Amino acid sequence: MVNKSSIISITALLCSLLALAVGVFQTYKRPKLGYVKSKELFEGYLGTKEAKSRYSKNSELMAANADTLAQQFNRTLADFNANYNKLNAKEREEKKRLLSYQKQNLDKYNETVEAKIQEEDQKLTQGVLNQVNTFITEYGKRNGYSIIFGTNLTGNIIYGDEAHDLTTEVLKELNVQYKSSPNKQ
Amino acid sequence: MRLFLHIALLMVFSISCTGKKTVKECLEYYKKHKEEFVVSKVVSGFEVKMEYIPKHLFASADPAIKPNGDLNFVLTIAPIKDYDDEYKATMFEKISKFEEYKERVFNLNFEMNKLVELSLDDKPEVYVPVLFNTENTYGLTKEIKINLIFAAKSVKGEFKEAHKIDVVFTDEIFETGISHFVFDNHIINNISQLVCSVN
Repeated sequence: MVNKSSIISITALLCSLLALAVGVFQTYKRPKLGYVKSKELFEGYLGTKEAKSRYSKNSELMAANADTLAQQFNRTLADFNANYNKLNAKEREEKKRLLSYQKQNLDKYNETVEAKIQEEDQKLTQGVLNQVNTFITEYGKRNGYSIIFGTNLTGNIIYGDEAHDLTTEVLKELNVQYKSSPNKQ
Repeated sequence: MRLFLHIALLMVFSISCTGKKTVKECLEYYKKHKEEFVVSKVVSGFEVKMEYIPKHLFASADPAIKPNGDLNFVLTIAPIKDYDDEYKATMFEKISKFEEYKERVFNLNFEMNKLVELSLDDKPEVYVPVLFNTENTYGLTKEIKINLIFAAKSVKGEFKEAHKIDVVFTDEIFETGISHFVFDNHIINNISQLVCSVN
């Protein structure tokens, strides 16, 4: 009877010690840290390359439309200058009004296009950043990281041991999952 | 004898793949393979999901409806519950004023053909949906569903000749970026060859 109770006491003591050891380990466990080179990651990502290509395609299209309006204005101006002496006062006034109207149209179009291009660029860039940030969050959780830092040009991380550099690995996985298919879920 | 057995087996296999099935069998087949028709990704608090819908299976009770080679997809954008404290419906996520809401509704109803395109086997030709509609759930569900139809007539050659179908969604509405949803066309072809009958 005495033996049985001593065994129970010893077991309980061992369990408490084990629990204490686990507790201490959890408290003083070093967090798993890593960092990525943000610029390298952003530029190497397939999503960024595609967004850039789409952006330049749209910009070229809009610039071509602006060129058509500019050519129209230049033709009217050249015509006006060439025939200036042949026109009477009323015709000159009409031509001036037309030129002013075309110039306003051109300026307005350019302003709108510039704003639209900027807005589109901002939306595409934000989309890419959202994808990269979501992926890093998921990667960190999956691999048990407490913190993943991002280096940037303003130097929030001056030095990091290469062993903690996750850029290549993250970029590789990020690009693999870019074109998702049912098998890669 | 061996050759005969092989031929017989092959015939049985091809009949089972392309032969007539009852509606129940067709739907069971679809249910079994459903995951192969769905591609999804999570970006910035949203789950963006593209699903191929074999519409002829669902319309098989009507003998007048025959598969015409068109491709139907449903794009679902759903908010993720644990992403932020305010678990809003997708329609209202990141909306702070009425003008933004109006723009979103307009884009979802009239501009989707500019945001979704389809390409085959990484070829440069892209196809836009000939028909699309956004289901208005009036706040009854959190997600948004957009039906997309790509017409077989618009394709150079045929959809079924391709190995890979890439549906691309350039999301300028919820800012989830450019998403590629790549489907194995053999799987789509297999289901599109099923003939379902009521009897």
